[in-house]
Amino acid sequence: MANTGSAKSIKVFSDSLPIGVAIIGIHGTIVSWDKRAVKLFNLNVKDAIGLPIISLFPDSSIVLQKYLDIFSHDSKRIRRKIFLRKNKKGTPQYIEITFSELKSSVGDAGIMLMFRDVTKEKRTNLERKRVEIKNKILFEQVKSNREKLKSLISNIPGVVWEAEKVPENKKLKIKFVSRYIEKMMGYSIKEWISGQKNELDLFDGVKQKGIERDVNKVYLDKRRKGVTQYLLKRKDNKTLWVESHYSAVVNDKNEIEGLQGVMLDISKRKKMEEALQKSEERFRLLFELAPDVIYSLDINGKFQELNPAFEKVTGFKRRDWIGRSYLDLTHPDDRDFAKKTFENGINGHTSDPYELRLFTSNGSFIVAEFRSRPRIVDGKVSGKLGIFRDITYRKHEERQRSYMLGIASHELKTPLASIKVFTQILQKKFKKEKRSQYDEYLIKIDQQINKLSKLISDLLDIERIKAGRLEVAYEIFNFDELVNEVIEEVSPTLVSHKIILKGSTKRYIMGDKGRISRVISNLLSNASKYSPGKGKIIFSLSSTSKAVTISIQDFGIGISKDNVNKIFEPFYHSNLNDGRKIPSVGLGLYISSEIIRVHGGKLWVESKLGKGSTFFLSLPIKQKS
Amino acid sequence: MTKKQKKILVVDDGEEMLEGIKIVLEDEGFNVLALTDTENIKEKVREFGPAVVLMDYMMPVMDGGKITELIKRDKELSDIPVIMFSASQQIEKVAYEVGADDFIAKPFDLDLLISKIEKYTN
Repeated sequence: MANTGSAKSIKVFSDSLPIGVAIIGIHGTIVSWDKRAVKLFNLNVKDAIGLPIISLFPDSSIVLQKYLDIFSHDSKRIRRKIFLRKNKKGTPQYIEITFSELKSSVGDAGIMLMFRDVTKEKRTNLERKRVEIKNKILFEQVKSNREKLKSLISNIPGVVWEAEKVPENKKLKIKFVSRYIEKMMGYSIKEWISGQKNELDLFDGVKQKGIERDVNKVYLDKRRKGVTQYLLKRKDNKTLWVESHYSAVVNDKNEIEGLQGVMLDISKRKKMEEALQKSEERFRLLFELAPDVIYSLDINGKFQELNPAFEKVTGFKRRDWIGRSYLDLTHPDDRDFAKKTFENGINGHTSDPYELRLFTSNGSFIVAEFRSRPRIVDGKVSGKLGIFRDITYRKHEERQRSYMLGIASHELKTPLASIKVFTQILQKKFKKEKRSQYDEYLIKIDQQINKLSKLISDLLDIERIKAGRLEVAYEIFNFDELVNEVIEEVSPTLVSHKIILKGSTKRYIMGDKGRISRVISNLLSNASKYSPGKGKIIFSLSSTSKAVTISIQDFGIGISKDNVNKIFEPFYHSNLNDGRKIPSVGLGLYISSEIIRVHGGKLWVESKLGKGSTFFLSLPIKQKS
Repeated sequence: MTKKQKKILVVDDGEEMLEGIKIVLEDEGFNVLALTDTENIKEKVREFGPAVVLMDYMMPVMDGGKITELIKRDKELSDIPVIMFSASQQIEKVAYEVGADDFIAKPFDLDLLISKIEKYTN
């Protein structure tokens, strides 16, 4: 073995240090292996000598070889490196290798490697680094949370504040206010926090005394928190409503150390509340002062609300009627109708306006006109709302007028009846004396009398229809016979038209014979009037077990689509296509449709402009009762 | 029995109407008593013994409805047919209610009046 001298001295040196030493030759094989190295690598000297050093670091042999090569060429470039290996048990072992150049006097060269087991240090380092990273992450998290909180607080549309107690003057000093104070109050944060400002300054406003009391409450209140609304003055002297939520900050001994809270601008809400209150007040006034009775009924028809007009109109006290059924207020004869109307109303069918006779406190009745709507709460019908007014006087006047009109009509018709009698006497006398040359004139007089008489009847009927008092005299009669009578009566007046009768009903119906014949005769005379020069009118009869139907078809001017429904309105007029007006009061179809409606029947028309019209009339067949 | 002996009592407060009807019915061969005065009407009916009574409804003192009721309640007279006439169509209902046998609305066709009277006298 070469270099024994120097190796020996190194051995002695290295044995006293906690490091292992090896010397490797130029081929990288171990030439010297000291005691500590034996311990470190668990490899005895005999086995170590001649082993390539890299074989001890199988996982990093290439790197180590590279270092060795580099070191051989330029020893200054590498001094110390840590390599990882596994010991025989398989646990990782960090070995720090310090490279040193070794030159002997004889010129043979080698490398001295000093090994130090740095596993423990390395582990500690790693642990420390891990802790450091963890802390850093934690720190970042806290920092970001704080940022978030800060941003949250500064973005809350309200002032977040914190105040601490100043022992010497028993007051609270503002420690923190959020940035919103600038927007809300017009003051900067600095103005608030600097010296003079204290907690009360924060609440400095019109109701300062009230606030002092509220703050004192926090001291007294066991819950140690509170909510108060104040009117505050901004820096620009404008006022605003705020709502302050605050709670005490207490220490371990449950003593108050400070106060914290948030102050919200509720001016808008307050304004809305005030507006709502005002509008509620207005509606309340409307309800209180309305001259008509305003009421609401629950789903069972019991009064829920009544306005003061109820007392004026009925003389009853409202409190006696809340919770009572409207039926109790209704005239016994009107109760069935009232009940039906209520039920229809609940189901969304309006009968507006309708009349009911109601009790009053002095035992008499009034006639009341109702208008009502279903009361809908959350999409469900929960009762009814409505108004009613006393129309007794109006009814009386209507009756009076109707009566007067009845008298007038009677008085007009009486002389007319005499004129007609004498006209007909003249006709008869002339006929007897065979003086037929004046017949024509007498027929004209007679026709004009009929026309005038019919007009008077129509006007009276209109009045009755309007008053809802179109009375019908029901009787059972043969429908076909009636039709024949009417045709017979009308035919002579239709100079240029022939009525072609088709079919029959073979039915008896119950109705007002006189009125129904007037309707049919009206339809026939219309058919002729509006089909000048067309020669024929087709009159068809048909029936089912439930109804009789007639249709009267003409081939005249027809009715435009726009006017088809208007023709049943009172005072409707139509023109011939050459623009000539047809003389008519425009009441016939209106009265006819009302008469048919009262009978429970239907009157309608199908028409084509220029082609003609067909009027249909159906009447129910009522069983003898 | 000749037609002349068939008696018709006409009650109406309108003299023109009465006159007209009298002319027509007499031309038709009836014996006509025309009354505007409704006083002691029952006695007058009993005395005259008409085959048919023509009765106006709206009259002063006593209306035709009441007179008809009186006649129809009287056992001796109740068989006499009463035809009521009025310038008010509404009276038709009332007429039947008080026991009238028929109704004619004014103004009317004389032929209709005559046919109705003949219906009750044959």
